[in-house]
Amino acid sequence: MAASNKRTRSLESLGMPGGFPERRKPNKRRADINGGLIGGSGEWLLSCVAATVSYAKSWFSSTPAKTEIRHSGDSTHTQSAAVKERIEGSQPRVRSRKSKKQKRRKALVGHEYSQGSLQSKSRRLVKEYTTPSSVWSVRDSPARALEHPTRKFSGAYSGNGFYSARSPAYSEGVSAWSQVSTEERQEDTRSILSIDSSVPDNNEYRYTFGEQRSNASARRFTFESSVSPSPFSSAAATPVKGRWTSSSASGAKRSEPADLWMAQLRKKIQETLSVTSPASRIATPAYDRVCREQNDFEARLAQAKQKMAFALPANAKTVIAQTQLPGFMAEINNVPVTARDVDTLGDGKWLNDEVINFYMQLIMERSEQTPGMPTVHAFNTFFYSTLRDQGYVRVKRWTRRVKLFEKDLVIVP
Amino acid sequence: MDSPNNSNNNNNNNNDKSSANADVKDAKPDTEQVNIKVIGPDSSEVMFRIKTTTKLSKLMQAYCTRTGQAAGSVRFLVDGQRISADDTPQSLGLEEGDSIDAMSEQVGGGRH
Repeated sequence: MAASNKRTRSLESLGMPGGFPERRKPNKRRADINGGLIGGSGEWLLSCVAATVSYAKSWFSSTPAKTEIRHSGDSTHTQSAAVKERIEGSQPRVRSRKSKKQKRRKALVGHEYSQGSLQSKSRRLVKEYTTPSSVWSVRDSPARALEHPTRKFSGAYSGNGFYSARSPAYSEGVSAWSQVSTEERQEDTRSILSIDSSVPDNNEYRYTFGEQRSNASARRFTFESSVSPSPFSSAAATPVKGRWTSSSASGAKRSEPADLWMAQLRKKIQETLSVTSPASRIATPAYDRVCREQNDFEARLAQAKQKMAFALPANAKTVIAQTQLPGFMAEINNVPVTARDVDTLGDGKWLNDEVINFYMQLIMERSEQTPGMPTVHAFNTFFYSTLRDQGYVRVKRWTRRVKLFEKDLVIVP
Repeated sequence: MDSPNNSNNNNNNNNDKSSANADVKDAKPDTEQVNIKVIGPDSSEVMFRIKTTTKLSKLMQAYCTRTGQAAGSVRFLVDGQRISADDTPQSLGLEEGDSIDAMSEQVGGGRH
């Protein structure tokens, strides 16, 4: 480790595995530099792996790694699991280089939860459901993901977007690590992570997920990988094909885990969203009393409303609307007076037509309603001016509805 | 006095022909449109074609907008009687070609 420190630093500065979690965007220039640097020396590969492992160790020591998954070994197992976690996370990215057609075809496969469908589902779910303790917190700390009950899927899901494997350097590092760790697995990982290069080259990932149990003490993770012969020269072009298998000693079920997971998630969401009525939850005497009082009040209010109900006149709406007009005061025979008209009654002001017309209407109203008064017809103030300016033709119809000659008085203001 | 009577008779005849239902009788001819001219204080005429069931408030607003007058300063008269905003040509018995007088506000002080 000490011997490779210098190398590690330079590798990290170049974006090699020591520093890969922070790298999000591909850097082609650096990737080229790395490709030139690699050259295929075994010592470098060892250092590369050492850098990865040391990084994982430092990372885990910095985060409070509570591991609920107890492996049968010491703490290095957990660390190895974390390293595996990252590599797991790298896999979908590499696989996502498939053509759209392939992805669609795989998404259509029913129970074969190929990567395409899983990816799309997981992305959709990430958008839709964000819970504080969601599985996606793996981005912050893999250890927390280990704690999470749905951790068994975290390898497939969480790694998708959060650890960018687009960088060729990163995938190179991954494959380098995986290859070298075949040599080191006895001494470091104690066969928790075993790599099998003889896996047939099938294009699909099969994620098999066991049921998580707290007492599943004996748990074994296997990473089967088929690496192309020269991964370091063309790692970007040849994606790492791997296969994770998680099996617990208790022999958990493996039937359609994604369906199960979806069902669990849906149930959880429904539980969160559904709101039970307060009446069903609160059953204290005080609450009952308040409820009873409320009901009594509503019943009495309904009774009172029924009593008060009477038929409004047909023009009630209009009358009410008129009274809502600004300054409206009174109206007789469609002759309204407003506050502005009444204001003309003030000292030193000239009266306007509305005041006179309203007064004429008042006179006519009084003569109609009071017995013994002379019958009166009053023209409005426009009569004389119209007759004077435009002649008899314009005003000849003005008395059409009035029996003028039956009136005792005719007023022409 | 002749024309309204004739028109009323015509209306009744039309109603009888169009429908036997008494309820529909009033509603049927409502869709008719009439041309109504508004004669301003300066004898200028503005023609409006409106449905017989349309409230005249619409016509008043349109007239005030067209002539650029404030709505509160124009008085609308039909046969010398003020009309309200809720009247319709039907309620006033306005026929095709009848006129509404629009008078501007009169204020004392030697304006005339």
